[in-house]
Amino acid sequence: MIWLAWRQFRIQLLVTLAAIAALAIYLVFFGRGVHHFYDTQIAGCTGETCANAQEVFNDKYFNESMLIGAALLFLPALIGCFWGAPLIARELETGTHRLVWNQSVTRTRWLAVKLGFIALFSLAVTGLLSLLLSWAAQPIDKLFGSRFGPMTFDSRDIAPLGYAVFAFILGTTIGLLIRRTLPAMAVTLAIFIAVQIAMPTLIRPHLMSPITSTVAFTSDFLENKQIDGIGSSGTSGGSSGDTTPVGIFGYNKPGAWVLSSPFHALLKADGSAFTRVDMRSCMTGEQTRDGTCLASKNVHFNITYHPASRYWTFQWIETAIFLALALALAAVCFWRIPRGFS
Amino acid sequence: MLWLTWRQFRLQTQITLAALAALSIYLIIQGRGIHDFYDTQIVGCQGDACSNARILFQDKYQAPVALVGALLLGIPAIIGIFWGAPLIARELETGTQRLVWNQSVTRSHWLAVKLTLIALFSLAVTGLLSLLLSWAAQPFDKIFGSRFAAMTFDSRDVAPLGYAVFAFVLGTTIGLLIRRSLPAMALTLAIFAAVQIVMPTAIRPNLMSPITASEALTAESIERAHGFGFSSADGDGGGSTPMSLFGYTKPGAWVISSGRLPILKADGSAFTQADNKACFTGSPEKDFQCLAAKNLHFDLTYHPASRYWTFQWIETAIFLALALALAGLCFWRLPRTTA
Repeated sequence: MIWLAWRQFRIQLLVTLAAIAALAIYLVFFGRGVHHFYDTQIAGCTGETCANAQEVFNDKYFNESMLIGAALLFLPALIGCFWGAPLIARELETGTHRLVWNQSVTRTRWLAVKLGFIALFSLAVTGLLSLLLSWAAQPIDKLFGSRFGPMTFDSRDIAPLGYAVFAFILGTTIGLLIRRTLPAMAVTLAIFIAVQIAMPTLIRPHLMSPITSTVAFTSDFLENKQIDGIGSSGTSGGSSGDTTPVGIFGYNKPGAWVLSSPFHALLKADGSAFTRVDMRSCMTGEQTRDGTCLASKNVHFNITYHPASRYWTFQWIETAIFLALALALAAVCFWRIPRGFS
Repeated sequence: MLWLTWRQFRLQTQITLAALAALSIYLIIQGRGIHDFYDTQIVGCQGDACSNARILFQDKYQAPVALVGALLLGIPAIIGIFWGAPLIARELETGTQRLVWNQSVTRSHWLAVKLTLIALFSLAVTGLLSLLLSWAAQPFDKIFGSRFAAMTFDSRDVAPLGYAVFAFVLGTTIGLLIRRSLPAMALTLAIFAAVQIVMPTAIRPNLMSPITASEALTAESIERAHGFGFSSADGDGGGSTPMSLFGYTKPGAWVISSGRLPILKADGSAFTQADNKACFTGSPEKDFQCLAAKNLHFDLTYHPASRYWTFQWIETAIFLALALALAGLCFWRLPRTTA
């Protein structure tokens, strides 16, 4: 049975191994370049040198890391389309199931070996690439990326493993139900892409309940670029006028996943809105002085977020969800395959 | 022959039209939202309200614009895989070509009708989506995007048309040569993805020879860059360390030079940390004016914004020509294929 699985999967396996080897070598070179640049020019830099070196670093490596990340997002879709969907559908379509299911091996055992063998191979391939990318891109993610960004989260660490196994079994199940290869591949691709869009936007934020906390405005916010802007805009209640509430735009909490909208209204100590007239006295145009002046007014704002410490919890939860879904779909296959099909 | 093509392609057409309708409605709604936000809150804004409104604008629409853009990059690949590769390969694989090629219609006529109809349909689908996205994302691209950026250029205006027709004919050709659907689909995807990566990185920058010009260092050009000074690769910060402009952007243009642009004095020698010190008081505004007065410049290699449409047409023409060449290969090969 293992021999059969190997014979039928041999070309895919060899093609994949060649592609993986090429990609792995490329990633090792890429990673060494990234780490070398980071260690020699960014670690321990001071003042403006730092910002300038980061600019060069970004220019040199950022697009490449995004491209590899995109490839890793797409890899599970390929596995589902090209390994999953045809696995049973092609046997049914060409009628070869009549031969293969009338051997000494039962249908269930046949399915178990095929599913187990290819699922493990998918895990190995995705795991190796994810490991290499997570290592190679680590300095880039630290400086420019958010670990919770949808493209970053799904293409680093263990999340790709769950996606890969899920996509494979999804393809197999759809192939078994539709019984025709090409439509099964198209449906697998459509469903998997829908899942990949729905997960980070609709589901992931609610996997744990976010924390809402109060942040006090401190004098270093403006200088350290921890916020993108301060003031008001058209949507936050008009752009001028004394009673217009002012707020923080785009608060960056290092490593955390901020869920609230980028406008955070500033509140005074008693909870009432901090308005333009309150802010005006502090606005001289000189950053350090303005920051200190605003901080002395004792203002704060509320944010809703997932702290950085939850990153690995989220990774494990998401992987567990997709592995569980894969198991459930595999159960559907095992239930369906002994019934019917002549 | 028209009837046969329609019968065999009916399901694909219906599914595509349904998906196209859904995506068009989504794009129209998003596009109206984007234009409305831009017209009411960003046009004519003043002071801090301007930059703050931009932050909200970006936060709200960046993901939808990038997502539809990525989809428009993926659609030609899907057309090549699902419409192109099986077109002939599936007939050969299942043996149905023996029936279909022994009718009153010649093989070449059969191929001509199939290729033309599906290529035109691909053009219509991609064209409509590209038109809608180019309109919807226009204010967004104007503020945040570079029109020459790899993902933007390939998913706006006429470029997607060339990619769509090329991918379709590429898939058909590979299917005809390999004669098996699944390997043809995989190979089409691999080749098309490689083309999509090679084109913007290795080929497009050289489609026209870029302009190298020396730009004067002004207060405005320093503000448009992300940084001014030196990095640890340039030296230790001693008097002889050369100064550079980091991450300079030229509006609408495609800057080819690297992220670090060395600053030069009028005689062409390097502007160093020692020269810079005289201007360094700590107040950016005054420093920039002082620097601008020193008559400095830097060399920039770029494609000007005015070349955007030339590049779009060149690229579309290249892919249409490649598609024609591949179609020629199909027409040559098909009568010589053993049935």
